[in-house]
Amino acid sequence: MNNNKEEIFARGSWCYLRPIRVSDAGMTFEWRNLDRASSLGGAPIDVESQVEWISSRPESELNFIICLASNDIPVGMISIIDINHHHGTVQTSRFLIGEEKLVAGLPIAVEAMYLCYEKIFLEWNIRKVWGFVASTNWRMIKWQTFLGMKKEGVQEQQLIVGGEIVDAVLLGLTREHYLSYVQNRMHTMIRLMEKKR
Amino acid sequence: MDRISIKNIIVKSLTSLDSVDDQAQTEIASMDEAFPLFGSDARLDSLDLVSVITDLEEALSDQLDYFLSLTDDAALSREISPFDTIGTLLDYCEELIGARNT
Repeated sequence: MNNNKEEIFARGSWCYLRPIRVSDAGMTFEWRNLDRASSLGGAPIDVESQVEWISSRPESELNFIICLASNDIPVGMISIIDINHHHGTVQTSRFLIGEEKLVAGLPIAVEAMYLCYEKIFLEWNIRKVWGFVASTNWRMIKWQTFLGMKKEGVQEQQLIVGGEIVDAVLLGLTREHYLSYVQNRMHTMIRLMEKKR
Repeated sequence: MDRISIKNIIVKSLTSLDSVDDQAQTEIASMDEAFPLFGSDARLDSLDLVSVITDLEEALSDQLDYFLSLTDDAALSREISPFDTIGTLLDYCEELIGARNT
């Protein structure tokens, strides 16, 4: 188990989030080029371009690797970007489970989102999280709305995914809604998923 | 709604998932109630499970004309998770619908 507290952003029962490193380039290059990651758009063309991307992240965003708490194995990634303290808003983005078989049967994805929201709303006192998802990425839209985000609009012909022009669905979650409903729903989901057979 | 109708919704949702492999598709298509949805031998990740729950909540709400939440504290209080297998999820849905109708 990784006990280096300095480099861990948030820790849960099942997973923790640590900052992405240049040494993650090969692994994340493979994840970003999986079929199911195509909706994220802009996949790197080679490992070198992924190294460059990781090295050039601005201070206004945080990019994390999701690691299993039990054995430190990296299984996915998630980002908090466009951090705007004036407006009290951030985007969650680039959420991707790269190692699906390793997380089957485990509440890793829910907990990773939960860890981000706890930091954003409770520690940073951010007012609102927002993001957008390609309209063709129905699995992610279901996921985000189930976990409390509300559909706030559609930007027509906003994205190019797999060579096709598609709409972007805008999603948002306020701190009030998180604290009054979503936090408990996520906590319940994690507890339901960790019930032993 | 009867058990078969609810099962059909679950099966349709499961078979629409890209991550469900051929062997699992066969088990689902055979309507095997022991098919594990979550737990140590499950083949779904949490995004898949949420997709199935969302489909089921939406379909049940359309049919019943009221929203039926499958992930509230009542689910948590059960000894065996409702999301253990297709069979336990069916049991839970029938119980919720039955309780509402009494």
